[in-house]
Amino acid sequence: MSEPRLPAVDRLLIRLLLRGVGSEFVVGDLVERFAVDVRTLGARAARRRLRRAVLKTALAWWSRRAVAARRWERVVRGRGGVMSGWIEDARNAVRGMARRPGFAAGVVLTLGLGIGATTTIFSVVDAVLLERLPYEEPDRLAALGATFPTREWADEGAGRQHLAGMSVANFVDFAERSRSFESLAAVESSSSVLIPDRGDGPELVAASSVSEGFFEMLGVAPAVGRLFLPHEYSAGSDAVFLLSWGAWQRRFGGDPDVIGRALERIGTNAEIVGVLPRDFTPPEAIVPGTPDFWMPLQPDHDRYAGRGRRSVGAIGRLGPGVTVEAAREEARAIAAELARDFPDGNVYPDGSHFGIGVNGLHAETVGGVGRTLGLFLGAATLLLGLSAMNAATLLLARALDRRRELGVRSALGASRLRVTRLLLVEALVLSGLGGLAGIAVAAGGVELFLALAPRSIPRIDAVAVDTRVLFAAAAVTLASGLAAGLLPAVRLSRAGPWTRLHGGGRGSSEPTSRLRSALVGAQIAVAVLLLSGAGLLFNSFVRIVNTDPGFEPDDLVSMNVAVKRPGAPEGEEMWQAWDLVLAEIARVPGVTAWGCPSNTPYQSPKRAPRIHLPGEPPEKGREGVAGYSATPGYFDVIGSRLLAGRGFEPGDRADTEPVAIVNETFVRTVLGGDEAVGAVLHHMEGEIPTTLRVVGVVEDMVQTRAEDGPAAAVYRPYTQADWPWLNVVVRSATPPEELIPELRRAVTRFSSVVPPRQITTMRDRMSATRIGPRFQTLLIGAFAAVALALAAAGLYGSLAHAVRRRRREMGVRVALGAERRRVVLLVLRQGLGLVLAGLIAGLVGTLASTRVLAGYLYGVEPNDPATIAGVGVVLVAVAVVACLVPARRATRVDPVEVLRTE
Amino acid sequence: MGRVLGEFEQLILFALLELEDDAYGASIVRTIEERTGRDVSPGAVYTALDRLGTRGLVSSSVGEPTPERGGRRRKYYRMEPEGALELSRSIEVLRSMSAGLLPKLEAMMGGSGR
Repeated sequence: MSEPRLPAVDRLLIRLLLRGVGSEFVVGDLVERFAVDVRTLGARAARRRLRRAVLKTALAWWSRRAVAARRWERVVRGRGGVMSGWIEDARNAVRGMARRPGFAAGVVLTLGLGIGATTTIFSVVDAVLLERLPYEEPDRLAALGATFPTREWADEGAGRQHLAGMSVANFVDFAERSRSFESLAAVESSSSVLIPDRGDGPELVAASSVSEGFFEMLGVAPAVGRLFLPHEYSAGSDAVFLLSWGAWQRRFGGDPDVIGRALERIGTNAEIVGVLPRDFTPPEAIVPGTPDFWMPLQPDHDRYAGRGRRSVGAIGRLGPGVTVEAAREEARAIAAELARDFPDGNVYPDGSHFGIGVNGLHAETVGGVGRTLGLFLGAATLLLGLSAMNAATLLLARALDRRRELGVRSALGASRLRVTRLLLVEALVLSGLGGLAGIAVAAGGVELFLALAPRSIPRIDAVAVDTRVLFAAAAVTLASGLAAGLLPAVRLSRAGPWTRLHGGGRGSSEPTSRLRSALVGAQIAVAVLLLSGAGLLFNSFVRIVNTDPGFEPDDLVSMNVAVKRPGAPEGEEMWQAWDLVLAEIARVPGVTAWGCPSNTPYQSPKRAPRIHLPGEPPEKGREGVAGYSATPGYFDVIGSRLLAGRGFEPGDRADTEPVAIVNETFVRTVLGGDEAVGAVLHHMEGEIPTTLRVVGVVEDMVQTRAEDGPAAAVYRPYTQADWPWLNVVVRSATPPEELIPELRRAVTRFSSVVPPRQITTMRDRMSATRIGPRFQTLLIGAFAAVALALAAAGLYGSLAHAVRRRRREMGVRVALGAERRRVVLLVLRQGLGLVLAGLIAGLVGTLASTRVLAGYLYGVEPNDPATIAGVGVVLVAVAVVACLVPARRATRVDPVEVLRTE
Repeated sequence: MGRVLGEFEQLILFALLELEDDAYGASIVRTIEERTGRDVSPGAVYTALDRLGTRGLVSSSVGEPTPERGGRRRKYYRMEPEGALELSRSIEVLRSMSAGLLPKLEAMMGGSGR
């Protein structure tokens, strides 16, 4: 019989709670019973029973320990030892909890939610932002790349440059001239490894080329075989490969004899020489994705000769004591030298030149995600504050009910300190349990976060509830316990014994009622803050989803097909070969229309041509214009309307007049709304100037993401633009799961094209761009929902308590003939006063913090009146319900009974 | 000898009686659950066993690791003569107290609608 596996959460609970509880025997019993339960009751019931047993066992054990400790202490130190009171208080607290399980559960639950939310987000922040990169001396690693003269910074405030690909020649010269770096390596990520047919055609696989020193810099030793030899980094040597551990396992079943095997690679065959170790994760910032194959980058290869091909990222290890800023200054100077020495490919026509930028590798990896995580952490902290205040309200009410008991204690000689401590210890015991509940919440929360979060968050695979996170959770628990316990403890111990004895149990004026009102009001304010944030994000998300994409997205499938490869036909010949492929696609059953753009909507445009109008100096070139190429059928198949002029025609050929179609935004922003058809544009793509005549205007289409807003675009006929790949878009009512394999088969039939990649429906492509905003909305929305529930519970609890304590007053009022309606209003007024105060405070807070959300909103102002009004309505509606229940209870007070019991 | 056995302690001693050499946490819980139909918390069982142990009514020994509990060992419990004595005393108390009264009790149960 195999070992019964407990769910991870329960293993964690057992480890935490039952450490030392005669552990082996007890845990063994639990495991055994669990296994029996799974068979007889089913997994769910068994888990429930297991959890209950764990909690009960822990509780029983700890209270037994407390008794034993007291006994032991009496023996060792006699009565009155330093610890004696504390332990007794703790024991008291446990006993008190057992007497009022509802109250205890309320406090534990509310703290658990707050601590759980904070811990969940912290575990993400910890892995993504705080954890060091898994390389030797990671702080000395830096990312390098080309910077554009017009866009040097990604985040100037944070000192992070915007790095783009650089040319290999520039990299080589830079490495030669730089003194800041101990070592430097270039990485080119391509996808040019063909894996032999495994049934459904050859496959194109991610591969990276790295220059000499890359693996050594990161401290990587091969798991099997060897790394590349120095001569393999020179052109003309035999082609060799390294496999990633994953690829080795997946494709070769971990076969150690894989060394020496040959693999088909585009154009040539190559030999596998080694396998990288299992724990090697390539630096995400430089090597996107996780390549299966690694090749030596050969800087002296022909294709790297010019400086116009900016295809590599670089990584460097800074010399001891060299800062990123110092390296950046040096890189700036070297870039200027390179521009002077090699203007070709480095200098723009306007005289400005490419720079070389340097960022710390960690900063480059994390990028802008830090800000988003900061937002999440802020929201979680607000929720934590709210839950601590909520717990404080509960504790305050409880302490108030115990005034008589506390009065007796102090009358019998307990000092004020002693009474304070009693209440504080109780709060700490409760918050400790809350912390455990919070860790359980976080264990589930992290799984949920990972399931829903966009995969683009760097290093997300490293997210886990680990020791550091547990320490943080413990600190948060202690802090919230102190915060929740200290206020009531201090307030309640202030009055002397007489007042407490005298006032215990009745009276309408409470010494703590103002504090309690303030706490409830503050909870409402925090809930309002979170609600408005969630409301704004939701509104913005709805707008993103409802944006008119500018085409008909249903029944469209697109795929990326590269047409150029070494040895493939060039020029006119290539287009003829290409036409054959398209004809084959058109023959796929169910395909009613097809067309090809260089890039589809919801896919980032890869080219940014410089456009200027005749008479304008070239340096006035327009940035931010997206360049596309398209076949004649493209606008038809995608369902984008032509607003003026004509579409592309088969007659637009490489040897006819260069023409262009522009979109609405281009007409508005570049042409100033002038007549577009017939306009002439000067176009600079790379270093080749062309003059284009505009022949048509097309509707705006969403380019990368809806929230980027409309942007100018220029389309050129595919025969006139030198484009190495196309995306084929087909329209078909055939279900995608049947259509996609057919399309794949149609394309792989041709040896002249590379197997298709990124085959997906347009709808899927669209929703992929919405994962980020959707996740933000979901997360903040969930926090807001919990916040609203907690605040409502706090309001309800506070009012219910007040009504209970004012039974006598209510009874008198009713006895004297007060109408029930008036009694209801009395309670409602008290509750709604708090709500209003909290609402106003929360809205002021919202308006004061508009900048926090500004970057996340699309089409919604951070002070959107409709959202704010909506938040107000939701809050008041919930609050009225929370107030009405206790208010109605107040009217049911029987005056006779109340007066008799007094 | 000491105070009277509590009801739960009695149940445990009965379970030890039934289980003989096979009495450990999980089997004791199971036995009581099967015989009484109650949901028994293991924590309560350990507490009670601990108490009975301190009073010398039961003793414990550690067994071999078993696979069905993931290689963990069991702690076996056995009733000591003292325990048997206490249990029979408790039963005796109950018996002498209830002698001749059970028909009355049944009559009352019948009277209340059962």
